[in-house]
Amino acid sequence: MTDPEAAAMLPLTPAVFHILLSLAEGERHGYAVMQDVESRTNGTVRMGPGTLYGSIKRMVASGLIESAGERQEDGERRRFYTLTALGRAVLRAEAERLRDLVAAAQAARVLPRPRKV
Amino acid sequence: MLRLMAHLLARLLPRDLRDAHAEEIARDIDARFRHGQRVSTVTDLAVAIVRERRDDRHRLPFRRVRTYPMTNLLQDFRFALRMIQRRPGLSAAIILILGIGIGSATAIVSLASATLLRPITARDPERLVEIRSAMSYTDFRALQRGSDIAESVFAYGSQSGVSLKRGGVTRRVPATLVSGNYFEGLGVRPAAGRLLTPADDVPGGIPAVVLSHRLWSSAFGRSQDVIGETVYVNSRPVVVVGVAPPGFKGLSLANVGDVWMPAAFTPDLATGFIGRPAALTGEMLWLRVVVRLKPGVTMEQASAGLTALKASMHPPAAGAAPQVMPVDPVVAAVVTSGSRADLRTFMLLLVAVAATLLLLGSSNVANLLLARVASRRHELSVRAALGAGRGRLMMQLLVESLVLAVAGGAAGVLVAAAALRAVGRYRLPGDIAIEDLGLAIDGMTMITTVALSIAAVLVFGPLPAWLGSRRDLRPALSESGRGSTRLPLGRMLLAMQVALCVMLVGGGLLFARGLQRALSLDLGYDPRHVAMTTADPALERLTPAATDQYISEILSRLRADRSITAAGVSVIRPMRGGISTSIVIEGRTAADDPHIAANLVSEGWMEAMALRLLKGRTLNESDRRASQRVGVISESAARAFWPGRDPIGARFKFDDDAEAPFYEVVGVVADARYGKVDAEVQPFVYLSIFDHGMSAFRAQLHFFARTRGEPRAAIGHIQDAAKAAAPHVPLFGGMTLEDHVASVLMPQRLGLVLLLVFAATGLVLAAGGVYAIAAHTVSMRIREIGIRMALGARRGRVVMDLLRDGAFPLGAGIIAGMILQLWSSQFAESFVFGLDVRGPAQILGAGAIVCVAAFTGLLLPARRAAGVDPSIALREP
Repeated sequence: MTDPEAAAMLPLTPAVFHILLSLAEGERHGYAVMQDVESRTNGTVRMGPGTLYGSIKRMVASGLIESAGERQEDGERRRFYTLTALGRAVLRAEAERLRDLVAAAQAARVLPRPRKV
Repeated sequence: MLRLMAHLLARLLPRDLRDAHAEEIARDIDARFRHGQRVSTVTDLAVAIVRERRDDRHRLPFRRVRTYPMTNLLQDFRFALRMIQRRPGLSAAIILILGIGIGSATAIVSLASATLLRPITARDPERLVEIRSAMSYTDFRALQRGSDIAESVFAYGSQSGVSLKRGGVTRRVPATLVSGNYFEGLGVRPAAGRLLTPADDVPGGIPAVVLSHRLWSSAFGRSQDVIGETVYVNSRPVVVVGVAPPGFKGLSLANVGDVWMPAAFTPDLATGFIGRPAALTGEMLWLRVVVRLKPGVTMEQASAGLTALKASMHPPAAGAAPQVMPVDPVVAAVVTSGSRADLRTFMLLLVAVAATLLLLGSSNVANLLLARVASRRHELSVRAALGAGRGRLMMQLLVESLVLAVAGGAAGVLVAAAALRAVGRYRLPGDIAIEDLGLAIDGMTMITTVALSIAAVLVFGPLPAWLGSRRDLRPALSESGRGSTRLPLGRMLLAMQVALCVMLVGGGLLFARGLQRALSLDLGYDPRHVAMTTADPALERLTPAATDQYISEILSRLRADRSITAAGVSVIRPMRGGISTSIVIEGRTAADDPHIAANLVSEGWMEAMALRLLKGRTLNESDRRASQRVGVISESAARAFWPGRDPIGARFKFDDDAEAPFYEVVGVVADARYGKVDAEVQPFVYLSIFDHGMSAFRAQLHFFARTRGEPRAAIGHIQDAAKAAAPHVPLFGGMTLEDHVASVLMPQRLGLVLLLVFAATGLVLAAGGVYAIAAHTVSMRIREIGIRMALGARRGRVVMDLLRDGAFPLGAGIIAGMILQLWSSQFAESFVFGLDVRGPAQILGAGAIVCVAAFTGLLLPARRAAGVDPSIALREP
């Protein structure tokens, strides 16, 4: 099921996972990613510029995301990023890995089983 | 404003991010502010960026390894120990180099601190000042009563020797006469019994005395019975009331006392100049006065207050300014004022030399480590590739340096202990016996060692660590472990070592020439084959007639000895100056007030000294009772007082008084060096020791015996003869005249020994350093050399190339060293007897010596390289 190339990159750091997650919804520029991650996690994951662009740099280098060119937004030129196919596969693989982990935790009664509604 | 802050914040980011994303980041930061975030977020942002830098750098993407600092450190230590074990030879060399550097520096720092920084035992020594000029007892008492700047005023005067008799044993010990509040004023506590109090310092009854801990231990076995016992000082009964604390040396390092006696008993207990009633009543200036200032009183206020007080006691003549009373901090005043500057310069010279050696050693170690780091590039690259951050690599290399430094420090303690023992018999300027300082490895020494080890790590540690952890190591991975062939920093370090080495060798040569010159100076007498021993009949209070008898008996016994060719006695020993007196020449009125130095000698003394007779005769036995007083003058006295005429038969006297007797010149002898070796030769006159007009100067008697062979045995013969003549007169100072003359040159000898040891060590280090670097370069270039040889390069050409490669740092170092030497030699000026310290001989000589040593270090690996078989060299990995 899992793409072997994607599996080789697991597990992801929280920052990389969140950036991929944010970009899965569409192209975003760096600051928007940061705001999105903060609001998605209710402020528990905060990325400074070092982490954000450090991660972006490495993710571009390893082909998880790519630049989608520069556009005007709020009167400023911003560079937008978008997921690559590999990035989507890796995000998916990581999410599945996490799901399996959660399932394992539930089986071990560490977490409550989900109730059918 | 916001732009600026955004810009500054962006500056905090790692360079690679800044280059790629600077615009975006600046805009982000800008956006934060536009979205209404407060200025305080700037600091949050800055902290976040710095933290990210710390956490994220050099980690592989997507995998975070949490590490804990302590675990790392322990790991580093274990790793360091393994690395040190893996190269035992190199490690041992490094530890040895550091040990010598740290050890010698420690020894010299303890010597300097014992003489210059903390020479005395006292409570709050910073509040103690000593009045620069000596004072009379009456002035001291007046000062004690009238001073409002002082918490207390106390005084001491030294007596170089008293006889101390307990049971049947008489010892001659140095003593100090002190005011009753001396110990109280210093704030010291007794080791046993009690110390002197003001109540002890009133005339009448049996005087109380205090012993030094040293004497109590060595002579009385720390027996409590001694306390309260009656012993005899110069044949007067005294009671021992207590023992001073261990290490208490009084206030004068040149006169370290073993007995402290109340000043009120001075005329009874002392001898010579101060052993007279006038010591307490007259204007004799013999007391050193120390003032414990009230808290908050400055040195200037103290000096001003004392000046006013002195003026009120001795009003200056009308119109004259009052005599200023300068004071010195006691810490600086412990050495007699004349030699204080000498001592300071000397100690600073030694400290500088030791620091140079330590610096040389450390940079040498830095070079060795640098070469090692270069050969460990492969290992370091692998570690970096596996995710070790730069800080981590650097830490590991620093920990290795630290472990080496700790081991070097431990070796240094041993070296320091050995060095302090070795220099014990030397004396420092100011006639301070190093033994008397009681130096030992103590807490202070340990602190010094630790501090020096840390200093050494700081010198040799960071550079190799920094270079070793450099990021561009990583490409080395693809080069199958070979690093760069050149070590530019190594070459700079090498040049520095060579320069320092030239300086050390130059200093050594300078001292050697100075001492050689001092030794080869014509003394005017022949110090070989002469034994000497000193007796102090004044301590037994022999009358002048009994003293005459004592002298005659000893001399006749010595002359009966077949191994002795001549024997005599004098009141002044060579190298200890002379009795300075004014002289009046018959038939001549001098415009100035001419002075001459005198010595009182017996017949036979000039023969024993082998003083060259130029004209007339020496003193003989008939002069003892002759009606005409006679004298023998020196060559320069003849020139100074009877220029252009024959002085034999001329007359002179020592006082303008009509009553004063005339002396007749009966002989002229060669000039002899009597004062400091480098001082001008002064006009001298020798008078008969049996002349009672001069008996006031007849305190100590120095017996000399010239022998046919080895003089050491004759010391015992003199002592036997003296014991037979008067068993209780204390004897001391038994040695050969050669040893005595040599003792005057002690500081020069000490300086020479230390400088030669340091220079030799420096030379070995520098040559070794050159060798290590050259060998490293060659091993790195062996492939290249092999290829060149295979292509037909000649051996000589390869050697020349390698030599030229190394010649630049060496040449630069040697030239820099000669310049340094030119500049630094001024500090040695006062110890090398008027040599031209900037003379080209020692500077070029030092350059040449270092040059030869360094190029030898260079040539050996170069020749070896040129000898390799190209086919083998090319197969090297």
